[in-house]
Amino acid sequence: MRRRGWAEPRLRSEALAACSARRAAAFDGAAMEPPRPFRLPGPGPAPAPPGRLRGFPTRAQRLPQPGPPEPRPSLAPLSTLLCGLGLGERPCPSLEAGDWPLGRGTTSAVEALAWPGPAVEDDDDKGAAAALPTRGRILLRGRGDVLPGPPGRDAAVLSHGKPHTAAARALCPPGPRPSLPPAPTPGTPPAVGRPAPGTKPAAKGTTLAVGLNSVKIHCQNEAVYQYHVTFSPEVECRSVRFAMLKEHRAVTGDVTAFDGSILYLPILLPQPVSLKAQRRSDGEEIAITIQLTKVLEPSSDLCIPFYNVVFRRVMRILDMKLVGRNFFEPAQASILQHYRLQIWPGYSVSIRKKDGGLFLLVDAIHKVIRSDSVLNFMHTIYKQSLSSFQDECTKQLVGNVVITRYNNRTYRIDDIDWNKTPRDSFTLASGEEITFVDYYSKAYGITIRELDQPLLIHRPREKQMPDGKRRLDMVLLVPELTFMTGVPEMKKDSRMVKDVMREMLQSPRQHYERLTSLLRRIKDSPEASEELMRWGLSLDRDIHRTQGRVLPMERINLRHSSFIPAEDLSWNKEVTREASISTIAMNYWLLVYPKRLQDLAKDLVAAMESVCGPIGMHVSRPAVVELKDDRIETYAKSIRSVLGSEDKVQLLVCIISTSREDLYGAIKKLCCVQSPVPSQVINAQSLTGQLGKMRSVVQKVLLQMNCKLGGELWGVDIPLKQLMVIGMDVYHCRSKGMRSVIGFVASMNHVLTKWYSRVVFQMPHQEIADSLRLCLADALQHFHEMNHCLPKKIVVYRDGVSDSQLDTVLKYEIPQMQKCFNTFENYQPSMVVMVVQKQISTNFYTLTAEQFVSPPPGTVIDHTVTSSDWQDFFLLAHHSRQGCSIPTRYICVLNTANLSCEHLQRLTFKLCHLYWNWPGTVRVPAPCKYAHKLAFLSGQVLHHEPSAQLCDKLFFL
Amino acid sequence: MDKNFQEEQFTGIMKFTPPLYKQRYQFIKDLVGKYKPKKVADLGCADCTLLWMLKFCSCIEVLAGLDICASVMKEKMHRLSPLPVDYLQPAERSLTVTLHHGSVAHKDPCMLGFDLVTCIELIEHLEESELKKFPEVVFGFMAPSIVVISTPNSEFNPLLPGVTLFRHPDHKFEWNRAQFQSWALETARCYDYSVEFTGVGHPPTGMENVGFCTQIGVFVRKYPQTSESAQSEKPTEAVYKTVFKAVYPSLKDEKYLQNAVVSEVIFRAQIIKRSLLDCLMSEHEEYNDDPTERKSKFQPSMNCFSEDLGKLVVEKSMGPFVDGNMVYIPLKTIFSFPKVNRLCGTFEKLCKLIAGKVTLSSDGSAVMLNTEHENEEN
Repeated sequence: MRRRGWAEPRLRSEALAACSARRAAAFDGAAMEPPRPFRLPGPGPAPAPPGRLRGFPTRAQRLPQPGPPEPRPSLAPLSTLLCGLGLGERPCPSLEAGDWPLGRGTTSAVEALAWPGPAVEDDDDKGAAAALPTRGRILLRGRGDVLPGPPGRDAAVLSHGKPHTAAARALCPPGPRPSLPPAPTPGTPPAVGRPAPGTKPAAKGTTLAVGLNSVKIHCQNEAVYQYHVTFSPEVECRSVRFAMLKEHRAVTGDVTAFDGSILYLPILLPQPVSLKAQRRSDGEEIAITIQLTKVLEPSSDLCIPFYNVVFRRVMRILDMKLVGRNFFEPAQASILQHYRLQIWPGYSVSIRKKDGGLFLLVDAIHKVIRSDSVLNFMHTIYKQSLSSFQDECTKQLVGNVVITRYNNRTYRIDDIDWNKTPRDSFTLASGEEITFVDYYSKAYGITIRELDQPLLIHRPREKQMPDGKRRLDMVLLVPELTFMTGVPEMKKDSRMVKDVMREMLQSPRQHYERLTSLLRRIKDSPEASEELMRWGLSLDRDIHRTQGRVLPMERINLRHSSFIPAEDLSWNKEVTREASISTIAMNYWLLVYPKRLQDLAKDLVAAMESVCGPIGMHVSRPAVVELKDDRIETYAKSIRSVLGSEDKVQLLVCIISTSREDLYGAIKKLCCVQSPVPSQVINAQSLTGQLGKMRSVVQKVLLQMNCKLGGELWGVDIPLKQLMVIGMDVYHCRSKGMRSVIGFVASMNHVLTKWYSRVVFQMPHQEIADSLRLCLADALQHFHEMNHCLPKKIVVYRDGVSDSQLDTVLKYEIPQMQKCFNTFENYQPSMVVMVVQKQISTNFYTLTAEQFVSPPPGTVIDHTVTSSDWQDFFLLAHHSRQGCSIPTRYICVLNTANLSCEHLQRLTFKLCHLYWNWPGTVRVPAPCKYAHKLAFLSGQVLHHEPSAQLCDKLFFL
Repeated sequence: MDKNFQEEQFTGIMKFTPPLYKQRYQFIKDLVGKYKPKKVADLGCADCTLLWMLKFCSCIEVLAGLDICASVMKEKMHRLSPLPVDYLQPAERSLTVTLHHGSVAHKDPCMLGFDLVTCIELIEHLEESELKKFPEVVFGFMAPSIVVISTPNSEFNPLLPGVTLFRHPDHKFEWNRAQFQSWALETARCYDYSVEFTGVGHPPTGMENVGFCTQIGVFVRKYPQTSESAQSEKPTEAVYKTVFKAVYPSLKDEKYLQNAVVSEVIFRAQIIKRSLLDCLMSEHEEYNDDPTERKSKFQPSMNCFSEDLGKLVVEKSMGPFVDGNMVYIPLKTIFSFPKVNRLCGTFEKLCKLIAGKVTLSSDGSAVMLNTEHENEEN
């Protein structure tokens, strides 16, 4: 409604789409962005409404943002050193610039789809598997992210959770128990039964009917009864306790959930119950007492774990196969013969308690799996690269998740043992030594054909077993008997990815149909429905429908104009045609390229000169370094010598002939660590593929360079004054035992267009320690230098935190940051900490006349499917051309700034407009995205902290 | 029946390695390895552990379990389902696993036609009336080629600490060797079986006279089943309730066979294409003459892909060649690969299976692959 008539012609976004689909687009983030947001489409994108209203080109409204002084150093010394570059006007050949081979961006989407959440390990599996077969057994080792809260922790949850009482209103002093004051505005998500948000007078934005991928669960029973079971004399062994209680089915009934001491039943037993059993080992008579302890609501948190066990059983009844923690139907596989891949359709399901009651969260997902064994895969690598075979194998296999053919476990490969073969032996639990060959033959009747293959190593995560048993510290797997899941690294940039994506794409309608088909199958299977009814659970026949809200549009401010963007929230045309807020003149820059790309280099410079004008940028001729070949050493040596002798270089631009990670890494290491200077790497190979796109590509590169130099592209109106916004994200190395990297980015001005960045390396399982405090202290120091004051409000967006880690953020990170305020005299800023979660299974569709489409960007849901423990909301900020849009979940874990939920939503949405690598909205607030880019570059490429000299520029874009 | 583990675990003095229950199952597995039965039924299958072990025996195509207690079967029955990976590489044999809820004292036609019927630690759980009907049901009605019956040997009980009367409270009796053997011989005589006695769980040195801990009788039908006539007289009324059924993906199923064949054909074709193009490239670089050479029909020398073709002699006329940006690999060449050959059997079957799934030349004699695709993959 609200945006009708503001749409724009398809042209522009198509140009972007074309770029982004390629492995290296001009904006490295540009290409990163689009593949992620969608859950893959069916048919093409919905036709964009015609016509477009250009918004308010009022010059007067431009922000008071004077550009920094533009240094104009003399070119002479450099140009004498290096030969000049002739710049003739030539028709542009196809050119595409790229900073980074972006296959990664695309594939991360595949991975995410194939394998949502972190790689599942065998221990997770075991927990599930152990809990599944035994009727009435509780899955005790619940996963933090599945269970809203382990039993007995609910009190703690309440203390920091959403304020249910007025007591929680008090602003929290720095400490581990902050609470969220209920905001005075109607944006606060209340508990169940809240009227549609749109009916509240002050709620901004329009209401929107949405469907959620959640299904309401109705509890037919009045209560669930919790009992305490005592054995006298004490019975140590849990399995014996299970067996003893099971003998008394006549008393307890068939429907039980028992963890060894706590028993849940759907029925009330006459009290007290005393039973007898005989211990088989010594014939001792054991007295069993079943004592009622609590009468629970059927939707109680305590019931959720075993409801989930029940639901897994339902999925098994429907003949779904459990892989990791999700269910799949291999019999319905789509087979991509040319790639020897299969795509299995499946579901991720979990029962959770939400503000709106008990829900089944369903998501239609896929698993990509190779139909070849890992051994075959190794053979393929062997044929391709004889010399570096072992290195190549390690590179491509380590970090991948494999599934075994003899049991149903999944393992992440942590290493390869080249010195072992299946002829080696290991020790069985009985102490017997047996070779792998004999073991698989004996236990599974499997004959291992190749006796000389190496073995794969999986190292289970250190975890304490509940029964104190020591765990294996290493699992060895035979490649011949394992299959790889996910898309193999080496093919990530090929057309395979596109084919795989096409297979997995689902339009909102298709997604919806898969959900309803599951519901129908449960309903049509008497056994499955019966399984649920044993606990009095019944599912709605359809997904849950409710009201969402669309946030108001944000105005985009450029240097001389501002405008309201089009419906799909992208503004490529404006930013390439009008002056950016501030630009840095490129007076003194280096262009490095191998000799055989000299024509391309000329074209590039020519194109830059022709497009820089409208952007408001000044580009002088570069000093060029022409390399005799494109070996890494040649690049490195030349760059090092030039940067060593010249300290006035503003920017280094490198053209490389192919997307080579090693070369890219070498250049970035030089320019980010050793001789700090902003740098831009452009991939020539990907350029040549695109005809007639040179201009648009160069436009984007130029904008990107401006950012790297310290310029500002565009802004939005930020009403909050004296505000600092911080973004944090973590990069985890694929191979284990490596350090993870935290990217930290903080805003330095009130319009949020200047950013200060830091990187922290930390060992696995290490607490963030002092580093976070130091980061924030430095950022504040910097802020003070720039603004001569300290921010009064600090809003932190913390990405890369799962539900189970929320407590860590609350108990360790926040106090650390708050500690740093003491460094400054009399400084007590208010603080908001928002956890940002992208990998969530919640999504929504717009329901318009039975038509299922993705909701418009800016859609918010802050009720019904929100957590009952935390203040959270879902915001869909980006526009996806294909597939289902997945919103981002924001959890407010601290709010001492009295910001209302609505304010937070709007601030968050504003920040989603500010990622300069993409002229449109992105899934997460820009500071998070910047922190992500920074952490990724530092962890994946630099393996080192970038130089502090670059901290005030977006050099990592 | 299902409590063997405890039995061994807590004996203290008498500890068998491997545990006795495993020895019993291994005994069956060895028997299966020896006789290669196609259809095997386990009566009193309890938690289906034996069935689970047997599903890995590649000779077996039908596995059935029967138990009087449905809940004990259901507890772990899902491990009898095909694993996800079974769909990736379907087995050649077909396999169907079925679990029935019912009593060995009743006849049900679903138990007919089996090659091997096992009754591990079953008969001692039967009431007298059931035990009476048992021989007629198993030997008379089911009439498999081989029946294996195991039961505790009560002579061994004094060596088991804590065992006062029976080894398990649910046991209705425990026989000594003489009792079991006379029952077995009588049964064998009655239904025309021969029987041999053995056991698992050796007695400790010096106590050899007590015999095995578990005594086993292996019954073999003396005469092959004459005809269907014997079965046609049998009642067809089903009294068992099916509680579980799993059909394994198998190459016997056209759908999976087609997948396997198409996958193999494309795989082979791609390997040939790659070696062909490699040859072409190297020759091209060597001579570097006019590009029309590329268009000419190119016959790779054997060493280019001898590794893949093995010892096959490819006639020149039917060798693969490049034309323009297409590579043609004759189906005959692909058919000559042992795996393709084995999967399809006949050339006609190959053609039928890949029809519509693989791009073929206009006359349908060769697989066509695009050369450009290759470049992208490298």
